[in-house]
Amino acid sequence: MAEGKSIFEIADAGAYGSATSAATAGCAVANADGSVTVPTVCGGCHSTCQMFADVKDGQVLRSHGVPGAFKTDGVLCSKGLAASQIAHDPRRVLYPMRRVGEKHSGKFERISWDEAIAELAGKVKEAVAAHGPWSVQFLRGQACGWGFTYDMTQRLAHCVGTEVGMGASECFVPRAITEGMTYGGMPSFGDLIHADLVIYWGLQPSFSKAPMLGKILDARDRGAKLVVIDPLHFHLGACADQFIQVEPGTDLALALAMLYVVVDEGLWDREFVDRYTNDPGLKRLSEHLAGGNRLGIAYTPEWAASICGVPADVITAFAHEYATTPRASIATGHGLEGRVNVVQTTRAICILRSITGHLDREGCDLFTPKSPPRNPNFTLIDHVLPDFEPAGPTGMFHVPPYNPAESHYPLLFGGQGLLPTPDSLRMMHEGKTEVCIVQGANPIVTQPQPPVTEAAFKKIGYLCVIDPYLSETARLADLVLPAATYLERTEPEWFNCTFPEVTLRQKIATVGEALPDTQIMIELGIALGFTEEFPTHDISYYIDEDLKPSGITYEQLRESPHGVTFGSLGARGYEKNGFRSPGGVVNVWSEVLDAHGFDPLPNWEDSSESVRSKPELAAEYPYVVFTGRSGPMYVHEQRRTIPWLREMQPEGRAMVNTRRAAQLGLKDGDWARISSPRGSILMKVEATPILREDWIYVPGGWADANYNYLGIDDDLDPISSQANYTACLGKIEKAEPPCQPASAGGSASPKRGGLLSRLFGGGAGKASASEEGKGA
Amino acid sequence: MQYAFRFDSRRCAQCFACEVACKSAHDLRPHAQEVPGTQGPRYRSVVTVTDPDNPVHPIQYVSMACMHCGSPDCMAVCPTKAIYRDPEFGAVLVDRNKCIGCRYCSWACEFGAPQFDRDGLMQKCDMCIDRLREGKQPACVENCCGGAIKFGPVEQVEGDVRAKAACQVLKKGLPAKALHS
Repeated sequence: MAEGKSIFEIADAGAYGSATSAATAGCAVANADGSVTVPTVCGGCHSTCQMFADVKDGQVLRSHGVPGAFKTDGVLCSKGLAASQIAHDPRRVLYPMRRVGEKHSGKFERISWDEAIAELAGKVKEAVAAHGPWSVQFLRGQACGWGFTYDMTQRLAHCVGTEVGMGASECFVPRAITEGMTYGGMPSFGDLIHADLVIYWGLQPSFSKAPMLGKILDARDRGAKLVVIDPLHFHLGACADQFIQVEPGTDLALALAMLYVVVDEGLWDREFVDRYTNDPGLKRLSEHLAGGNRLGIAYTPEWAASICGVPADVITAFAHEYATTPRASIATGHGLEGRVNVVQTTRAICILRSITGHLDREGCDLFTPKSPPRNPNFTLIDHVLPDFEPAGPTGMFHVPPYNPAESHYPLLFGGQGLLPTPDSLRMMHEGKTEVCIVQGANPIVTQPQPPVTEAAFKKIGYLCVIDPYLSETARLADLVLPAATYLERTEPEWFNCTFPEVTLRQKIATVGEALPDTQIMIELGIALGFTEEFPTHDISYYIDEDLKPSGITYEQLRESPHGVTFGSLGARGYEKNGFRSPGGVVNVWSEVLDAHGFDPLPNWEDSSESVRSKPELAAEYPYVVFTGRSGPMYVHEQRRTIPWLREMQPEGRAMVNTRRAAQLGLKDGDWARISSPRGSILMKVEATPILREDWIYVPGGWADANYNYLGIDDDLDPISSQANYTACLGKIEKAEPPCQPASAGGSASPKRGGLLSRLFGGGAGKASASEEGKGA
Repeated sequence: MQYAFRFDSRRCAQCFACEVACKSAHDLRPHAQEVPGTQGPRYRSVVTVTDPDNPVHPIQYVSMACMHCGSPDCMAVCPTKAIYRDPEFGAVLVDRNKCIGCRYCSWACEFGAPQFDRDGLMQKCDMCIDRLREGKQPACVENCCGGAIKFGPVEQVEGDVRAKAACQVLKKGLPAKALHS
């Protein structure tokens, strides 16, 4: 350590990269008011849009769009425009905080970074010495970003000898691995310039891709037909030419019936299927769809209509239209996730896209490289796999095939090596986790059945939470480290899943003593003695190391405010190179799933609880109660503290169909109790015509009216580890307002222990109930 | 010259970017030091309109701000003549040195445009007149993700609509090549 300097001073300087201040940041432009405009990358969500930030005297004054940027062309979404309030939110944790008083007291005292890093490194060393490396867990949420920052956490975890896990259920990954096993990548670049039919399926761009709305609506205005498939008829659905309202969790039935129509009526692309798939003539698929499957169901539109609620004639006409429109694009999103059938739903849509000739063709869905070629051993995987031999640069679908010890979901590593959430939680429940370091995640709120998660976290020997806020999870911690927001981090970004470009996020402010997660990994690595692996505090060294095979450097990125492109987006790349799936062809019949004992062709699988699968339960709980994102101004459970954003949606309100609300005597703003077999919450209601009368929508991410008390945690997809956490059966009744303003979990009353009781019998279930009793 | 906003409800998917762009451009409350949930002045806000009897369009959105009326009721009722029309762009503006905060304007306005901050004085959408003088578009227009909010001289915004309609009649794609003069 440089003499006289604290860890904070050294790390903060290193986090700026080779630059020393915002004023000298790459391509900065001075303004008349004394501020400097710096090109950087938004981290308001994970879409990684380019943005300009105006900075003066260490304060972020405002943010604005970058004209000419491919994806955004001069606009930002509501979250991106609130950057100044995100950076300078007075509710942030600004200094390292050590617990005082009893364990889980939620009380802290300020300490120095030198003390904090020394304490954490000491705990990690003790745990590894006494219980082995797997007693140390790294959990990661969305707030600290993916791509490079994930690589940095893996680099440290692999030095320690353990693997990184998710702080919450893996979203996106189930779809990513399914598309990977079917055709070797994600064709997530919708060619909106040329498409004649644009379909958004379980994806609400107003929430997650607002800067793309202009391109989508331009396509519609030049004559393309815009179709939205969703349970909720709002936002983009309100602008669509056709809205198809599908029951939550039954998209698989709709997709299977569309396949049935396409195959039955011979609307598929014979040339493509015979040459580029592993089911020439669709012999296996047609027999399967006609009823030659293990369930003996013919997946007809009439069959699907009785499940998903879309009339059979609508399904038939829509399948016709998609199959016979040569230039048609389907974008799918998180709406398909959080259900046990997510993998087979994605499979059915992948097959539909492929056999109708819409894969990687002009006006359709083009493959886009998700990541620049990266150093295969940047994450030091050889520290956990000694016989690892790099086969070539690493990309998103070319990670070393490695299933971490303790993982029970071998197919999940397809995206990037990770410890599945159910395994992380199981290890905690089993008392195997001595030290847990949580980055940018708040599992106590975001996991289904918070009391179960809380019980698991309370068994951790030493909990360190790295977060910008004192979250519900942080309140259980022994050590809280202040994380930088995206305006205080220097890192390359490529995780935009659309256009293959690397852009540089630049540190433009220092707020309190907050440090980037990447810098904390470096300082912890050095303190643990991994000085060879972490030879410098300067972040630009690690950026250059990770991106080495791509030829892209930190200095180059600093001088390229519009980013540096990698790979190309041309259609029909498969004609030359085939597909990166088994056999080099589209796996209509999945070799990977078959090898692991799963259905190689998609079969109907219901959501965990439905009126069909649980009729006796439905007698008491007749509604489909489902959840999803809360609105355009929030991402996951984040941004509730930002005044400009909170102003537009001050509270979460459960959506109830207008007519049903009137029958129940519920008016806008009335309080209601919404219950499932697992728990109940109090919430205000909003009467709205955008959903069916037998559904209730509970927007997610509100700690004081948390859907997760209702949601299912103990039914897991054996392929992806995905819990059925976004839809269940429930009921609603009018209720008195709560006596006091609801606090975290305060208005919730779980009835049983879910996963915990399933795993460990009644005793543990009782324990979690009593924990909740104490908290209430 | 008279400038005007034009709003295309078919291109609004309620992303709220216009609201935050406006708040950022005018540095409006609520600010970070205030309690979440407090409401600041909102020069622009996206209003949700629902219709349970319309299965095709059960919900639609309208982004509302000051209409900068040709014959503004707010101006007519203002007892201190604080509200005036800017001659360059036709913006209806308020002189906060003259405003006494009586709120007559908010009673007269049919659109809910006048807003009041903690000083009790009226403030509202000013067409981003400082930006207009720099040759820029209003912040909400520049940041409208769906391209629903347009702005320009009244003759031009109407002309653009005619050009777009003409293209649609002939089934020509956008960008519109038709010129309306």
